[in-house]
Amino acid sequence: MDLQQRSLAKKIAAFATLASSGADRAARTDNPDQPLPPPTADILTLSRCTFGITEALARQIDRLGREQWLRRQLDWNRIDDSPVEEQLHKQTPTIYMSEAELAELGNGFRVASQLKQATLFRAMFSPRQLYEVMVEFWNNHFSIYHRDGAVILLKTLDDRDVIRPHALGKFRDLLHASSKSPAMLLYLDNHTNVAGTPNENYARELMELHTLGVDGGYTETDVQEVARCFTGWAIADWRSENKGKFQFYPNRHDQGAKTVLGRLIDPGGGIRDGEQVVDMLAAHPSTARFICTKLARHFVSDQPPQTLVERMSQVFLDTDGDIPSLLEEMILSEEFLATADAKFKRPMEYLMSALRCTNPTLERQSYASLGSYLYALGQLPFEWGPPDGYPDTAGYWTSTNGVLNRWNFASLLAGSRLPGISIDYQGLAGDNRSAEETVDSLAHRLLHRRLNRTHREAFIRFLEDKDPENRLADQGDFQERIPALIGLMLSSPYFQYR
Amino acid sequence: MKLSRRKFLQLTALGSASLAAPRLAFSSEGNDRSDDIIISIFLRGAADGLNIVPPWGDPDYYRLRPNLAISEPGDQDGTLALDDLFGFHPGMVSLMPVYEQGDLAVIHACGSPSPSHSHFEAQDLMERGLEENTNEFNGWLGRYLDYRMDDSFGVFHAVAMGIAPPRTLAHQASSIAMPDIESFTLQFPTGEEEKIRTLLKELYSGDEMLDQASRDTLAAVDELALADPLRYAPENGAQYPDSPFGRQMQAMGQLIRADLGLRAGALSLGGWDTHEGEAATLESLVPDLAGSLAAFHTDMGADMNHITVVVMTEFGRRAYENGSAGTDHGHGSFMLAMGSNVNGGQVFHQWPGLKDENLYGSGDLEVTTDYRQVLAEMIDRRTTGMPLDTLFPGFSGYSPLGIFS
Repeated sequence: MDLQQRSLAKKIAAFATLASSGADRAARTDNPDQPLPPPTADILTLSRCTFGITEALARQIDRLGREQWLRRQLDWNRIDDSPVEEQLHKQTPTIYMSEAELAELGNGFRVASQLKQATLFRAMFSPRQLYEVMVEFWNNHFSIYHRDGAVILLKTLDDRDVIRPHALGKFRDLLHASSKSPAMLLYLDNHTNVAGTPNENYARELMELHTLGVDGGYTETDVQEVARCFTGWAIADWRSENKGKFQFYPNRHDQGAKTVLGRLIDPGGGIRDGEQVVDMLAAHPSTARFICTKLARHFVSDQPPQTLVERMSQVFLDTDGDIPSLLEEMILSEEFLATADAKFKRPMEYLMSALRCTNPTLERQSYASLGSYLYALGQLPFEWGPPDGYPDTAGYWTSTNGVLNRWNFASLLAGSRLPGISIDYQGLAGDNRSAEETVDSLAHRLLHRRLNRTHREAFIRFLEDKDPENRLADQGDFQERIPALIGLMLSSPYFQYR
Repeated sequence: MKLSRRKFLQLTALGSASLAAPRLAFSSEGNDRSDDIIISIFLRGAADGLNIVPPWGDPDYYRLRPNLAISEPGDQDGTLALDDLFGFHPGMVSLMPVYEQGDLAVIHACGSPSPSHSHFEAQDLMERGLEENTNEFNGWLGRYLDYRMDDSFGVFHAVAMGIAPPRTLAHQASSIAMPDIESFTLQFPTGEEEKIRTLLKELYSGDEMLDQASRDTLAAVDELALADPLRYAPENGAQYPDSPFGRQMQAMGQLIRADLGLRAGALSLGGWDTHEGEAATLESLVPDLAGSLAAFHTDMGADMNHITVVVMTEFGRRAYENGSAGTDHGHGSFMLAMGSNVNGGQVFHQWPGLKDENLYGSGDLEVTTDYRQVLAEMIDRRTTGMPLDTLFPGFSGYSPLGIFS
């Protein structure tokens, strides 16, 4: 894929401006003796609300301030991302296709691959960064495995028509849309859920994973009753006019009375049975708590502060699950600012942020390189088999495999050794006369924070290395060692957390 | 937070009261037998014990599964009879010789007493060896490792084939995770490796999340390169299935052959959540499982004398089929134990029956053998043993079934 659209080769000046403005720098960020000096509030906000910090973003938040920047991001519809979409129309046309067109195309592999590419492309280049972060969050919350039969085609529709319209909307609307998503109906087998011999798969995961949570107060009987409510919810046959679309089949629906979470659902409700269940679940206090815990776990800490979760849950119940209101409450909270570096970047966040700060030239084959590393690290989009989504806590990702592949990716990216990806070192490091200046400017550019004094000295030593066995160093030119230094910085603890 | 092995040993030496506590069960003292290498395989998604080891001798099986049951022995694609009550799914055929040779035992109507029908909760509980949620974070196999740990434990003492170690292995020190052996190498720029490694150690020193993982990664890469496990081709004519699981079983065998100090290994095979179209799913998964286990058994040959493999799943499937040619979440399922010291060639069971009044909850196979009975007996008989209440907190009533000698 051709990712050359972007030209962000900028100088370090912006960061100098940022550093000198100092408006919301916590005093402790100035202390170079801390093991890992934390980022400023602005930088922390960017690192959690985007897929990676760029020069332009850093300048923007410095100009607007955190609150204003956040409100702009939440008003996602007014951010122009037409250049990105224009590119995608050319590169990944299948993401815009209708059910019928996809069915005719029939090339599932191409469709799935283009959706993955588009996902990465948008994460890297869309100016609607918080929106893309939330699209990823909801795609993971309503996780659907790409390689489950016709899901390979239908996930394209789920991403476009279910997740994206509601990613920054109301949770209730998102849940309704998901409950009628052909990809979800197929993945969780509800398309074969019929009166008399119900299939419980969707009913269970709807409550356990999408809304109430496993301890949310439902019983095994509730699972069976909810399954009955969703009998007849299916996908129109590929031969019918509505092929690939949601369809309710009244003759497969169990028309008897049901009791769900202690509430009677009258007989003869038809499609309203399931819709009523969705409404009940969307407004349930357990859902509020479950969703807010997941949001806070994603944006704040693996152990979300309970005070924050409680305030967010109240906002959820007061606003009918208004997602921007939840994000505002969370991102502007004290708990958010008090937890710098509490989150370990997951592979997708790690790769995207490394690309966004090094701003390489990306050619068509770069997608395969990125895909292979996301695969090795275990987070290729839509490839998590079970319905609970990729883990969102550090424990899963900090394995030897995780560490090894991060270091390898950083090293290959920095050395322009990944096919189709090359870095403009001059643009990135600038014209620095000394190793000190180079280390400082690269740290600003890549790590966005102050270095610990000892670490800074170690980086400088590395750059100045005069080891006689090293042919390049023999030339006495530290510039030659800049790629290795970039790899080292991206491999360091400074770049693993958000 | 992970402790280094040395630090962990220091701590346990200081607080050695727990080590000196009387051993509540298990082997006699003074037994100098070394521990088996334990390989734990988790079938994720709730594997259907009723169709993988069909109770063909129970007429209610055919009543509850008119379309889905595996037909009787002798029929085309029929059950491979093990005895008058049980048989194997035809996809298990490659394990028949291992069973007949007495190296494979089946434990049926087996599982966790936890009533959870959630995959994620039930897997989590089973891997931690618990019946209900407590603060215990580590896995049952991890607790065994913690108990046994001494200076002889190297960086490869616990290995998971995959992206991350499963909870089963979680313990005080860290486990190695690798999806395969081939790609477990560092790609630092030529000539810079040593300097980069030194600097990474310095940068990560004291890092709460990654200090230990980064050290282990560097150490593991070196040890692996030195031992070169890939040079070990399968022996005795073993042929692993050409599947991710087959390759991972082969890799586990190579790590054992390379003598890297493996004490416990963990693998997962997913995809067993057969709510719909179950027959087709089992037709591909069961031969993958069986073929990989059989090839491992053949490959390891005489070494199976000090290797024990156990296979488990979070729960079974509903005894009656649903309208989607599948089965919903159930309760009891099955386990497998494989090794030269397994009293194989038999199905251990207290069959609860499949009459409606015998079923659990909404219509599930009852659990009559707690999975912890099997695992506790394995640790008891195939290692030098450890206190039962450390291995399985809250579990009492251990009585060996004679699965292991």
